[in-house]
Amino acid sequence: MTWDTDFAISILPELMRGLWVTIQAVALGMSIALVLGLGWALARRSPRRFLAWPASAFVEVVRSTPLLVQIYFLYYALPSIGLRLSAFPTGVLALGLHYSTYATEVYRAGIESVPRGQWEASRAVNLTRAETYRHVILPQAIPPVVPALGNYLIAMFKDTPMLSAITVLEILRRSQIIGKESFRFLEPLTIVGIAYLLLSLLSARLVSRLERHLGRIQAPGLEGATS
Amino acid sequence: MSEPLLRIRGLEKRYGDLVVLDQLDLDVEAGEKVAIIGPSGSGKSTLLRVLMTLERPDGGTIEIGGESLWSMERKGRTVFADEAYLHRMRRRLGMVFQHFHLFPHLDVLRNITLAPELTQDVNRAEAETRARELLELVGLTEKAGARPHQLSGGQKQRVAIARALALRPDILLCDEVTSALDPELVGEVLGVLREISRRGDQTMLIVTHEMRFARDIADRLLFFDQGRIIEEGKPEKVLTAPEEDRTREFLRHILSDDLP
Repeated sequence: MTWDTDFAISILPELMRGLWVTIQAVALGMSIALVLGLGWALARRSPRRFLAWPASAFVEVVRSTPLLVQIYFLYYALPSIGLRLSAFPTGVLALGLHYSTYATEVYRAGIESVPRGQWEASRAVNLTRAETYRHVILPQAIPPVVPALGNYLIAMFKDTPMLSAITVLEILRRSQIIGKESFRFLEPLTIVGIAYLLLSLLSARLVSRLERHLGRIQAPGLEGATS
Repeated sequence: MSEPLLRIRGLEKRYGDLVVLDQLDLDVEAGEKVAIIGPSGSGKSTLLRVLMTLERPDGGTIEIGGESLWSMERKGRTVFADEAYLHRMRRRLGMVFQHFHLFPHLDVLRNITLAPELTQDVNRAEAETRARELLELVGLTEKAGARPHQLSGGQKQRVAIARALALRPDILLCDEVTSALDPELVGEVLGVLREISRRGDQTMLIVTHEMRFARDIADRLLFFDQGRIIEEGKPEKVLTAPEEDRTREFLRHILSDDLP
């Protein structure tokens, strides 16, 4: 079997549709992961035990089980208690929940790296706990951990093929359908590989740009000093 | 006799078996400047930290303007203060720390305006007007747009003083505010505190190792040792003619090289 460029071109539109599904799944999944991850981190640090304990338990359980199991669970088990979601939202939710438990550790490290004096100074100027997080702690905690969060963006791209297990027509599943119909796997799978490579490179660039941008917000003084 | 602004009775703080504040009694009148000296570990900083509600006391009472700081009434019973109650009481206190603790991600002006804007009923413009007045007081008008990392230690501490004053606290707590500074920067910070003190009505509790400063600024000097006030009185008197052996010994140690 040799490479057939005409065939490769002919299947491109179909694969690009799959790629678009992959990108959407990651964009939505990552948004969920970033928001929930921060939520878990704050809940786990809360002095209220009814917030801290369930968050810790959830994070522990999700981190200790495979993503694929979680995807199946959401898709096949939840409908039996009356929660029926179609494949794509289920997949997005699974990615988001799964990665939120990793993102939360990153947030935690960031929050813990802010010196205690910042909490004490916030208290001395009478900020509430919520105000302290919003105006003092998180603006210092998050920029340094953006690269670590970015790594999970790339990791999430590489986990999206698992969504094909519940019939989400992302790029890998489309390539398999093409393969089975045409008996040609070389071209679709090669294109899939290249697409993932490009996505990873693109996300890495996105993250480093974001990092530079945050660095500028953090230290405009330094920038001024060099100019 | 008028009710003191700050009234402390039987205050206790322990870390495990270590007694840091031992049945401490203290009254401070409104407008009074009280300097606290004593060896390290004698409980002076802990007293300020308990007052600022950064540490919980293990016993005793603190009243500010007749209101209890650490306990509240609920259904006819006296209970430990909850966060909402502490939030209300903290309005009456401000603190300047040894290590400044400025907010590094905010410029100087925002460091000062953040809390008034969030916790008091002032808008951004009013808060900034007040902040610029305070920057003038501490001599840093031209640094309003600077970030903390661009400032010297002395400048940082002057911003921290402005930040504390922006909330118009009844009592300003100063915790060894020059101890982290290079010697040549100490003067500018003490100068600012002298100026604030000279203006009269600000009640101040100052933990310090600067004896000359304590003598100049304080109406009353307390000597702390092992969680107790061993000796107190007019600064001149305590510094030059202490009655207690421990005070004398401490002063001999600390003043051997800089008695004015």
